[in-house]
Amino acid sequence: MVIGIVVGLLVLVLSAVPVAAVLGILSFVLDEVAMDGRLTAALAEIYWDKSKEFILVAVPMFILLGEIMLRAGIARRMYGAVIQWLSWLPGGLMHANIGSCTIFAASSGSSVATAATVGTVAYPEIEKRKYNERLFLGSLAAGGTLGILVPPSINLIIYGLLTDTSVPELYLAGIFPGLMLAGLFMVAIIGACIYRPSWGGVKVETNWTDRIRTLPDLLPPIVLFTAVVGSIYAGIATPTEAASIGVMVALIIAASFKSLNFKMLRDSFEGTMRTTAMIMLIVFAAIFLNFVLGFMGITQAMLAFIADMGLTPIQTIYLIVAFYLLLGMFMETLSMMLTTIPIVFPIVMKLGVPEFSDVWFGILITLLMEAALITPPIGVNLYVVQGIRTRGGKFNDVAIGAIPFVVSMLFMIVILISWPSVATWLPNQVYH
Amino acid sequence: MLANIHNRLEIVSRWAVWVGGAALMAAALMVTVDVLARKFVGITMSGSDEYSGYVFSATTTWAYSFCLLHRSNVRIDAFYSLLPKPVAACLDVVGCILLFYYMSVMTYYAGISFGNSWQSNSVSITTLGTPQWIPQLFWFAGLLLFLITLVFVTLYATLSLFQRNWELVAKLIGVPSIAEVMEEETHGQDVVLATGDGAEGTR
Amino acid sequence: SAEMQKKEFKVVGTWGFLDHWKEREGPFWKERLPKLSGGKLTANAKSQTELGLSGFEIMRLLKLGVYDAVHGVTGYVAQDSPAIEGADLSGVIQDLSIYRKANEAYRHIMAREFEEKYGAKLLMIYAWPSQQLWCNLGDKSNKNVSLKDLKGKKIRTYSTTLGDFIEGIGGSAVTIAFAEVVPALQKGVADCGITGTLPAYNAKWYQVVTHNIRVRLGYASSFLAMNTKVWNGLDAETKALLKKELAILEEEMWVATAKNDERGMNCNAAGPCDGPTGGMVPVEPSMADKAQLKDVVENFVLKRWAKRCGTQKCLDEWNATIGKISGMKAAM
Ligand code: NA
Ligand code: NA
Repeated sequence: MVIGIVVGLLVLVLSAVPVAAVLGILSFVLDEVAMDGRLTAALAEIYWDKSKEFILVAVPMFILLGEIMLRAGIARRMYGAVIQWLSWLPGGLMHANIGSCTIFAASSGSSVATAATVGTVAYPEIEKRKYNERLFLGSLAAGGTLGILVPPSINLIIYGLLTDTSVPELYLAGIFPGLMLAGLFMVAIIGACIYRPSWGGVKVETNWTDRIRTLPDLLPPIVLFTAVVGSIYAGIATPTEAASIGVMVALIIAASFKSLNFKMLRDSFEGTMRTTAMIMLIVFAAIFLNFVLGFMGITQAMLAFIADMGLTPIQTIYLIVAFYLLLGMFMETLSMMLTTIPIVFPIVMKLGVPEFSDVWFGILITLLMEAALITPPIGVNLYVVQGIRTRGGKFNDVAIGAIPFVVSMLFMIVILISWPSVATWLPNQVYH
Repeated sequence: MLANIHNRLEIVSRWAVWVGGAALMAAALMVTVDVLARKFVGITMSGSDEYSGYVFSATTTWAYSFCLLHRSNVRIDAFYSLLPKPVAACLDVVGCILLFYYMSVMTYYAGISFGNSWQSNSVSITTLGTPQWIPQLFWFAGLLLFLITLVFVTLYATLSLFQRNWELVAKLIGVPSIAEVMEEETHGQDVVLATGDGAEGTR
Repeated sequence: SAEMQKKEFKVVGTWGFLDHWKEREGPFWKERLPKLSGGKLTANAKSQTELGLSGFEIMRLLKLGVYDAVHGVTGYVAQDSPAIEGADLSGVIQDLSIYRKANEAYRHIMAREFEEKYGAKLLMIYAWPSQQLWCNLGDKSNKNVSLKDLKGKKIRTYSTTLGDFIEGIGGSAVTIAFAEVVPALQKGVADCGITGTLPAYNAKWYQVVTHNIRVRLGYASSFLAMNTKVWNGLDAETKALLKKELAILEEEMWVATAKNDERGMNCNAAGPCDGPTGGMVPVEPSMADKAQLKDVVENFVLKRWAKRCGTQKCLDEWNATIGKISGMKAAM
């Protein structure tokens, strides 16, 4: 049966059927085969119940925030400033990609928004400065994933919701690993460009005058970060509310740059609604598939199997990592979290290792979700970056270009497992 | 004639997206005002979270149709892009029919759910006690618009398939390619893909 | 017995991480029932957590025939019937054993509503540890706290009837997702939260709040219901077995709830407790508090509910059962 499911899924996915339809119809078939077709009647009730959840509102809000930043020219200015500071490294603008993604991630909670925003600004540089297109695109897809690790983060909000873990603590825990991962991405770029200097493109001229002159362009993202994350720590807003506050602040910033106008808003709405619709159609189909799989006991059986293998805590954690890396190739991250965390989380908590805390596991899961975003065949960030290529090209380019960055992520995962305090030190200082 | 209907649907779905986006922005404003009022004036107009939940559920379904007409549904095109045009066109139509099947089941049960809420006067169990049929009506309307668009697009594409007009099938429901994105650009339609914002990246 | 029919029930339980499911609901369907019926009656039972359900949609799904039976919280399914909401209005009853009597008296009304609205047969009524107020009042040395002190405080609610109560005591209601409550209390986004005694302890609320104001705002009345068509399709022997065994399970539920309630209160305060104690200041309601409580319940909680209910019949039924036992009166 499991083999049948996998084969059926692969055929449908590879024949380019819309992913939402694949997940939905797979649910119908499983229901028909194993549950007399009675679960399908629950489709709309579950959809409605989930679709009005306040916590999900953070998703379009963070995307809208990104759209406004982009269309007000804030993202472009920021990119220009980051270039001045980072592009002297071997690999040039690709470091600016990572740096801009990190800064942008600090005001956006969405990986899609981060990759799309920075990607749109950076893309024309490939041709202009003769970069290796694959590596350049890979740096955008990978840099974008920082959007969910560096606070604020949609995924951390959802993890907190599912496991009753404090979201502010999760946010604090994401800061160091986020910066370290950005560093590892840069190391990967330097490594690749030392190996093949031609991949690094034409050098950008920078000087100290321009570095100082462009500094104010970094201000808007800092203001946004302060508004979104600061309002949480000042006790003004909940993490979900903070996303809405971010949208308002972004609008004010856009207005102060005199780039707030009717057309710009309309364009932002179109971009936001299209991305939201694209993601949500899949998320709701995945939630329903989760319900069907849950009733059939498939997810539980798989994890009970892991729990029964009698492994040491470290081995169990690595097995869970392998499980998520594999699953992450095929599943969208929000639906993967929704379906697996209610089951995996108790297993990790039962290991009884104090260092492997709820906050720590939240960061580990987020890293694994980042990996899922850039591993083919289903990697949302790969699609986003493919989507911004106005000159077109094969999807494989992006997927291959992302490989060095997947390796960086694996490094970061090993570091996090070996030294859990990388994540937990900061929240422990503040909260305990 | 069919092209004309296609155009009209595009206009309707574009308006739906504008209204949805504006509603989302209004929800952000409402939540922000609520937060500030709570912090600095000490009053809570409870319910901004519930209302923005409804805005989210409705605006999402309202955007599906736009997403479809702009061929933004997520599809895995790793192999698709290697296929000859007629085969790709067939896959496009098959994909469209399967999506239609899934969404028609969804819309059917959504209609039942809406009917139930209407008949039994369901209200949310929060302090607002919102009658559920009101937000559900907007939600259901979006699903209906999507289903209508899907029916039309599927028929239009199937017809084109029988006429061996591979180009038209691809233009209606294919995975967007370079040339098409360029064309979209010249029509000033597809703003995200064709944004000129990045053109002067380093300056 | 030889002739009993074979049947696999599809069942949904309450939250997978709480002990009602882990120790009673789950084991009953998965172990006890198959054993008692000699393997004839089995169940595919899953907690709502495993299925990703929120609890609000469960009765609609039961009606649609998605599964055969469901354990749920009354307040979560009250969206289609104010009469069902009447089983668990905030602050009406201050004692678990009286609460049980009141629910027993109201049972036939609940059963009728379940049948009419959801085509469901009500099989069991039970409860959870009492819902109380948990407040961050800054100073633990202040032992002299009363309900009046909550005037102007921001209190986290999750239901209509709790909102009515909070308005009655002059507080302002804030809605915050459960996951966000602890940081919200710590940072002062909210001053008080409302939740059950044991959940408050398990979620470590004692780390961020100072006082436990022991006004019982309800006991999260819960139920087991079966799709009526499924129930009618069972043979007499199966029905008899289920009735008998569910009565035993129901008794176990109430006993466990009483124990958990006690444990939650002790552990949040100075103990005795089998884990770390929370060290919260327990505040038992004074005579003045009790008088204010009655006033708030009758003039806000019951009055508002009466309006939602809409008919005199609805009020009469309530007054003749829960009202009589609790000494409260609902009027328009
Ligand atoms: Na972020
Ligand atoms: Na992936």
